[in-house]
Amino acid sequence: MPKKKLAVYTATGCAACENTILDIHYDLGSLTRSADIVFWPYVLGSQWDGLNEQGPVDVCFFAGAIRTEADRIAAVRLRSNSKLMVACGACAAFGGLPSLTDLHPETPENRPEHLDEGNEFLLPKLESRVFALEHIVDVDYFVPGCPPTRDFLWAAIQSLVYMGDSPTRISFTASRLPMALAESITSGIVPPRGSVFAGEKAVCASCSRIKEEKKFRGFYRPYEIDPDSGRCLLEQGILCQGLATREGCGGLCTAVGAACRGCFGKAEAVFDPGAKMVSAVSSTFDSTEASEIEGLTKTFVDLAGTFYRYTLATQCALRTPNAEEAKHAPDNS
Amino acid sequence: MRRTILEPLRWMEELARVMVIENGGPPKTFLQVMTKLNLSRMCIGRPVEELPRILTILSPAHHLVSAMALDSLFNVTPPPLAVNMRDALLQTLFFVRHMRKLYFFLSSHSNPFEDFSLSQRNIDQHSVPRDLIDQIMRHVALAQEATKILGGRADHPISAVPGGVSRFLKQPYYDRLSEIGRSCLSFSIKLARVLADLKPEELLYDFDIQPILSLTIPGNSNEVQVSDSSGELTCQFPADQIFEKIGFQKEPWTYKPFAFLKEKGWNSLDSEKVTSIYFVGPLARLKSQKEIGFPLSGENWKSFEDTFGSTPTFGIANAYRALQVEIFQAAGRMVDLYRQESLTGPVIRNIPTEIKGEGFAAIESPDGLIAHRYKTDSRGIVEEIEILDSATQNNALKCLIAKKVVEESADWNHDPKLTKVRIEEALLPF
Repeated sequence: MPKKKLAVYTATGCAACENTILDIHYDLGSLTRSADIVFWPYVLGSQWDGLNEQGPVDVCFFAGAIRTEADRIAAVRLRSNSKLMVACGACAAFGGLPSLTDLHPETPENRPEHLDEGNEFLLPKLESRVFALEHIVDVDYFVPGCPPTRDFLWAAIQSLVYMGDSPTRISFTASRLPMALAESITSGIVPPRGSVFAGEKAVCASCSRIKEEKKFRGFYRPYEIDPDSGRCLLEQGILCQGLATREGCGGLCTAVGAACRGCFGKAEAVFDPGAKMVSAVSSTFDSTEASEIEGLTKTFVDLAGTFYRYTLATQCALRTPNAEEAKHAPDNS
Repeated sequence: MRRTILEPLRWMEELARVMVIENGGPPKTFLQVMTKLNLSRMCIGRPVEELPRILTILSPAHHLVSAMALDSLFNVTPPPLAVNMRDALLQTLFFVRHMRKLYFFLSSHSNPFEDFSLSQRNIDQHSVPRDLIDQIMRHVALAQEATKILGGRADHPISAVPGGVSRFLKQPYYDRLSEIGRSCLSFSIKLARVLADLKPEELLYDFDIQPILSLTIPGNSNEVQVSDSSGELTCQFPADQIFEKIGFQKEPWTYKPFAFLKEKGWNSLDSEKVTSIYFVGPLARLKSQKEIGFPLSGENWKSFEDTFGSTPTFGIANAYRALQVEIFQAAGRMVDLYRQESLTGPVIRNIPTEIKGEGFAAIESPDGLIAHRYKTDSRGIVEEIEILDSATQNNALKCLIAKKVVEESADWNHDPKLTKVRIEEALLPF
């Protein structure tokens, strides 16, 4: 089988997704047995001209959010040069943490000076808002997480690069994927377009904490209590987003005593993660007294920044950009 | 006017490039950071206890300094177990960060993903044994496992909370951490021997950088020391005054601002003498240290002194040696802190009982001094945030380095690829 050509790129974000790919390369086995990494600016210093000379790339792992004009151009170029485009990590898949900036619109005071006319230094302009990759180009697959877990990134690589013919076994990961996706990986068939390399259900399904009855008489901020180590955090009054978030991490954060903040995006059956959380929490108030309920709701703070921590750009039903907004180049000069 | 752009620069955490403008006179060089996170807009309005999780987007060490700033904001002291666990995580982050830099440096002239058989055919005088590069990354992977145990997640840790850490370690982790610590220490000893033979100055375009100041926080003190280029202390001030002492200059050609000492005023980077800019990081720490605590590092320091004198010159190869010395130190501290008695105790956190409204912390992170200050309302909602990261503090130095490489490579525009590699290698250790 001829070797596949891979590209890796990060727009606005951090290097954690790329470091996860590096870790996989050395921890799980060489990536390059069945693939050539032909474009990776962060590690190889690959130039855009070189990308054109290489011919089409088989799989591109694109990380980072679209925050600048340069990010947008990179996304378009890589899409046109790649057979398969994978949104890698929460920033590319949902806008990630950078999209939190959109909760505070830019003011004249914080407007960058470079936006003045006559920018001889060709600094890329900022977009009018933060976009996820799918707002700008067609995306074939998603590997969520901040950063993605090695298991699922490896599953994506095995599926799309090795086509199921990998020397390393993935039975553990496969058992956590939706059945259709797991079967396509193990049988070497390209998974359905749009597949998400993560679970289908909510994080609660794989979180090891014991769940009993969700009835709330009060909520706590995470600094206010030391939660019991084995019990559901939400049942102890800490806002944990596991019930609205796609499973796949195995309850990584909840295992450490930290509440889920939704970096895998919404679960398959959820329409809007914030709405789901508000609905789920408010329906289990252990009170029928209006004044008591009002007091309870006052203990919630920053619902938008908490429930859409990683997904404001794509999964908040009130904020999804229209096609025109996403299509147009920035107009903020 | 002629513009030449050298991009993309490898190993930069943010997209960056070098632009050279020629307009008759000597070329003008600009290091441009092409992207902007805008942290204050990300953080204002958030519950303050969420900041350690959000600010890991800068680097894992920002998770720890953020948690320390929350200790101060909530006026709570973490128990010894939590202090040790945080310190163990910090030392592991030093090891991972510096090892990754050495990995990038040593594989700079080859493709680290090349087939083994092909890479063996391509050995030339600059080649570094492939096995060494692989071993470095295997130990990075091991240390990453330790960061996951200690921090909950490897690249974006979550375990540090106001007043302590969020969980006890389980029994099997103690044995695993000990194994990892011993393995990292023995490899760092081996690596030092190999690097002594390889001689970094022969692998890269080495040069001395023009003298500028450096900032460090020595040991566990709460004092920031400002040292001159010979390592001599010029002044010091309490760490919590750092945001009053440091200003930020914005330039229209980059998204990354420049940190400088306010009392000396901002010097243009074209000035003959720059008196207000400074740098932070391993070489700054090494230059200001009179001796190194950990015995093996002391031995290493001795050979370092024999070769380079008591104060290492401010050069690129020495910046790589500073990484090597700190890998030693970190591995030694890891072995020490990974012992079960260091990571056990009756309490993992103390619960805060008040909100002071303002919190501050500063630490030495792998890339240099970093500091956070938050102001909140009475409910602990963030109203103001100030962040000092190492990339902003080293931005001016990095610009000077890029400028010097271009100026010293008289024929830089005949071989821009080589100039780009020289710039990348020179920027990496800072």
